[in-house]
Amino acid sequence: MKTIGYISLFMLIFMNSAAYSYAAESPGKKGASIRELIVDLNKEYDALDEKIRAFDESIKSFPSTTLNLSVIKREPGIKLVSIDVVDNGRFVKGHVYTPIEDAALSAGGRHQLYLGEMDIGDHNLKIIYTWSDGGASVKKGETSISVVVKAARTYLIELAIQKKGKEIEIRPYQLDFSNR
Amino acid sequence: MAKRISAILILLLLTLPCGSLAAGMGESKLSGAAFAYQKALFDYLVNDYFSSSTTSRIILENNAEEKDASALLKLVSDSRRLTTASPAYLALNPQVRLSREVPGLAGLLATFYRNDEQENVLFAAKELSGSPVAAYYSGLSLMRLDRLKEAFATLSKVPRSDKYYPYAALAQAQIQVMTDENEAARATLSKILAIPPQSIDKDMADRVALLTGQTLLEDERYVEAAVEFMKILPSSALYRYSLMGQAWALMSMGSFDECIRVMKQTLSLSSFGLETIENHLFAAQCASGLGMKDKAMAHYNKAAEGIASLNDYLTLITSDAEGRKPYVASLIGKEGSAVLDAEGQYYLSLMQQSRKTRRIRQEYAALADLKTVFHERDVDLAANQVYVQNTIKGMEATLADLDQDITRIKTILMAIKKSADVKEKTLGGAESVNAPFFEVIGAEISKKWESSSKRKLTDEERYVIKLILYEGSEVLECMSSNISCPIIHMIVPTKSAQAGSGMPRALEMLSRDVASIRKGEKLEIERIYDRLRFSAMGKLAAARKNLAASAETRLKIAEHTASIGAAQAASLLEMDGHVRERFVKIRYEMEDYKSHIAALTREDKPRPDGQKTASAR
Repeated sequence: MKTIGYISLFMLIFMNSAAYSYAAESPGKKGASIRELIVDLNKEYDALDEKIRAFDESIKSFPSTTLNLSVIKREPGIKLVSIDVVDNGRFVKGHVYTPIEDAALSAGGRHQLYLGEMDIGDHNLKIIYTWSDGGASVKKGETSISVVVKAARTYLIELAIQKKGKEIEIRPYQLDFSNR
Repeated sequence: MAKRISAILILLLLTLPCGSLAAGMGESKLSGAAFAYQKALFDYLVNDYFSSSTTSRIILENNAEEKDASALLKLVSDSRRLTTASPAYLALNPQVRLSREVPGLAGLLATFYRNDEQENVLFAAKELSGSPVAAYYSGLSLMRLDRLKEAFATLSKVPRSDKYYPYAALAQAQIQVMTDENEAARATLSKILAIPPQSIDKDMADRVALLTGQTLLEDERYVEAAVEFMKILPSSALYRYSLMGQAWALMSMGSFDECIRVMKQTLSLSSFGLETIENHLFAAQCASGLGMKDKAMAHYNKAAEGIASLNDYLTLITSDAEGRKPYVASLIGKEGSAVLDAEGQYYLSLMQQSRKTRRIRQEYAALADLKTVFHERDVDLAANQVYVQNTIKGMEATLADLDQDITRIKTILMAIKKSADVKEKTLGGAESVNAPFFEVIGAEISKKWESSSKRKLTDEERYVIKLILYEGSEVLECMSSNISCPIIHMIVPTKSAQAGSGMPRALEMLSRDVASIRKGEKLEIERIYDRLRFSAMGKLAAARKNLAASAETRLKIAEHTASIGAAQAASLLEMDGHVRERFVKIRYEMEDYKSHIAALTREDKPRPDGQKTASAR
């Protein structure tokens, strides 16, 4: 009976294949078949299921939108004196490095400079830093980072102190843990 | 709070949804474990052993990478943490009791004492009853608080065998001097000298000699006093004071020539105006005692010059609030003393001893503490406000997105319904010649479904199967490949479908939703979404209320902070007034010096006719 069923179905399809197209109004595809519509619908259901599950979670506790700024030193000979962080013209964080903290950075340590909730939208982070190369004079530098902050994301930025010619710069790097 | 967030972050580091930043920014790839290890290393190197231990533990528990390095870091962090007990560790672990053997404790107590935080010293000492170092510092604190009897008794608790014993005994002798018990003070000091010399430092021996000399001087035992003062060598930091002691003893004994010799040395070591003036006056008296009128006069003149110059400075500083700022800043507990010269440091030390200074300083510190508490609360509230605003924006955006998704699903279902209505009539409807055939095939497939899902199919499900069967060409296409045509699973059950791959659920949902659309009812997902939307709206309302409450609280905090600021300004003003009063007092004392010099010079001035004045005679 099963075999007959399949064969009959096959025959039917073979004989009428040209006649079974129809024009349905699909959001993405005009003239899509029911099969295509149902495949689309199934995908929509899967995506919606996932979104609703995440939304259900976020109603209980909405995820944080976090900015994480950490500092490392790529040139051990430099003495880092201070770093100030200004976000859209508003002072956010300042840190003056003690000799022991500077030595910790030179030894490969990472200083967690800032970790906090950030509002959604466009941000211009200005990093103002001072450093010395061992002499008495302290030099000043500045770097800017543009970030478009979206909800429930963590923005991990590494501020790497490194040489640029004779000068020193703080270069921002986006940290990526995904490929490791 | 920051530490807690940091620990949670490390734990979640590998699974965080990360936002992408501006184009052109460098990208640094590293593992979450490497990131956390670098942070732990930094914490360890800056002596935050608690944080380095916690982070290392998290790495060990959650990652295969950096395991050896983290294990080692945890081991050394724990070892250091348990032997030094940093204030941060103690603050984070209120349940941890201070150990009597903690080596870093003396430093902590000394810091409290130096910062004039006597309550903290006494509190810590109470926790550590029986600890000699705690007894020593609490004794000093009680002394500072003028609770001399209690101080003496507490200092007695330091055993003779302890390394703090000489310092405690010296403090006890000082209390005895303050209460005019000179004999007892000397007995206490002699106990220090009984300790083997290798067990006490040279500075301690000098202090003992100076204090012993002072008690002997007060008891008018000048020879013995001079001998004690002479024990202090020129290399000692106390040498200047020993010279003054010697000069007093020598003058009191009538050894004016020796007194002049000592004063010459003392004058060469004078470092600031008032000290120089006093030394010149003293030297003048020694010279006068020896009948050296011209020499005495020369010293008087130098003292008068010093007084005039000092008077100018004092006049200026009593009328110039800007000039008093370093004194006020230093006395109130801020940095400021660095800009003061030796003269200024001397006045500062005089002012620091005043009770009024201590009271104002304590009031100011209490206000500063209160301000810090409000500030921290405000920072927390501000962060919470940003979070709530993000929650509102994020949820509103998600709701709008879900609305669009639901609309899209409904549009597709409407399209299916429309197609189905057409197809039913033209191909498989009652009037169609193929209707019986579709009936047979549909029944066959439904039977298979029922056998695999072990339940009867609903009419809606049968309808959807039939509907899909109408699309014969599609089915034909799919018969040869399950991969390219997944729809076939919806009508022909396969192994994967039977194993619960989700397709039976899709058929059920699809069938229900097609039926709902046909009947004009809400979809099942729409009903779920409506419930969620209702919860979300409740959450949003609560969030908006939270925002309003936060704003109100922050406003109140701003008001409190402003009033604390005003109280602090008043304290600063009071301290400035106190500093001014002290300088006015010093100026009056200068006037006394002037009259004193005038009187002495009248006595000692040689008359033009060679006759002596009445007093000199």
